[in-house]
Amino acid sequence: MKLLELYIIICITLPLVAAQDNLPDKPAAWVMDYANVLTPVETSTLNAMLAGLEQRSSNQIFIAIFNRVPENYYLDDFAVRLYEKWRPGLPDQDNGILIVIFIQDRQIRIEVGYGLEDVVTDAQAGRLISDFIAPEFKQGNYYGGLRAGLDVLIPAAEGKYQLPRAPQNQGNDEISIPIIFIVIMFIFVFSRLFRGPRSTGYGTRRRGGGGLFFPGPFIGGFGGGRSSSGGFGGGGFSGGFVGMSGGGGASGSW
Amino acid sequence: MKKGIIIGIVLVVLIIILYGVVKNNYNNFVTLEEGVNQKWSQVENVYQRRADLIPNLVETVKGYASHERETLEAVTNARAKVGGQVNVGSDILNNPEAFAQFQQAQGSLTAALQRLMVVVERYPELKADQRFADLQIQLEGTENRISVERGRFNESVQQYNTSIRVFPANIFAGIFGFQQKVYFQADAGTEKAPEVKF
Repeated sequence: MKLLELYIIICITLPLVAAQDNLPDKPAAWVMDYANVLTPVETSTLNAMLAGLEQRSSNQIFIAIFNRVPENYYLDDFAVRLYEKWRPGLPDQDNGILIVIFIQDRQIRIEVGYGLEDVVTDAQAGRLISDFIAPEFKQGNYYGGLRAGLDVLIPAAEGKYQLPRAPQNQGNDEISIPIIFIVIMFIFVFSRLFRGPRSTGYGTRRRGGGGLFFPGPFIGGFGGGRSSSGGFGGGGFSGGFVGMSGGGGASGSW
Repeated sequence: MKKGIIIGIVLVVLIIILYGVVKNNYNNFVTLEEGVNQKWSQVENVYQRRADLIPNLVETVKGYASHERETLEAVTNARAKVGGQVNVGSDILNNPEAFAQFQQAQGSLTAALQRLMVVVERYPELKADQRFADLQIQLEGTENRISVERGRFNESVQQYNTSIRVFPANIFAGIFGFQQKVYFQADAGTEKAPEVKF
């Protein structure tokens, strides 16, 4: 059973792991300049702006600047995958935005998480690129473009998720039912063990009673297991949203 | 009497093991099936979102390019066909024919929209309209969402189908009536990238 589970898990996760191999790990800062187009002072200014946003509203905006789109990816797909890996925003809210820039390909994408889709719409993200970011990028002024973009984007993203929600407690109801079941079984077995030698005269009749007793806790325990699966399914449901963007946002080039 | 106790203990252990195996499998199926249903509702959402965009889009294009009647009608008709099919519920996942129909209707709407977007290139005034520019971005965004949600849906169906097909889980899946679910195939004509002619 354990081996089988392991096998299934490996089968399911292997392709995902392989697909994410060439994505950078989640960074410690908000702005990651892998293409070295920003000066250290510019990077830290942008970082300070985004740190302020996160403190005020818990919304996270990450900026990743690369040279080229990696092979086997295209822009939109890359942005979604990187969003899934970096998971900007609170874990259960997806109130994050990821801005991916490819300098040599002259491409940019603003990827908006599920949690911010209603305050940063596709059209707004598109205009942000075409009206504020792209004109500066055209002149090679990457800092100016990002600065102008964030000056608009940060106020837009604010005003949502002011307070971090209390962490969800993951109920461990799962374990309790088998334990009760096992305890009942042990009580049953031990009661038979102790009663057995004392009352030899009624042996046959008691055994008959035991035979009837068997299906009782089995069906009861089984029924309990089935009903508990509903709650478990519910847990998996909310888990499905974690760290995701539904492909909202806009792409552009300059 | 001793024999009876040993048989009893063995039976208890066997039942506990059997209970554990059945429960693990069953709960695993239910979890994965719920995952598939949830991903499917996301797919329906984004298709609905696209269908909702179309009346506005058609109206805006009509204002500048009213004599592109055929292309506009194709979009409207394709949307009407899709209209009866969004929010079909997750039952469709167990019905390959209905699913194929759904996919075909959505596919023809995609094709009609693509033709419309080619046609509008001929109307510079339309392209300069800010309202149309916004709609175009929204449509692009929605198409991207569709591909993202379809991909996630396919991944979840693949997980679910694998889980009910491997041995010995397939035995329990058969007993409890978990069936394989259908997933999206690449749309006809989209397997190869469109040719660009200058």
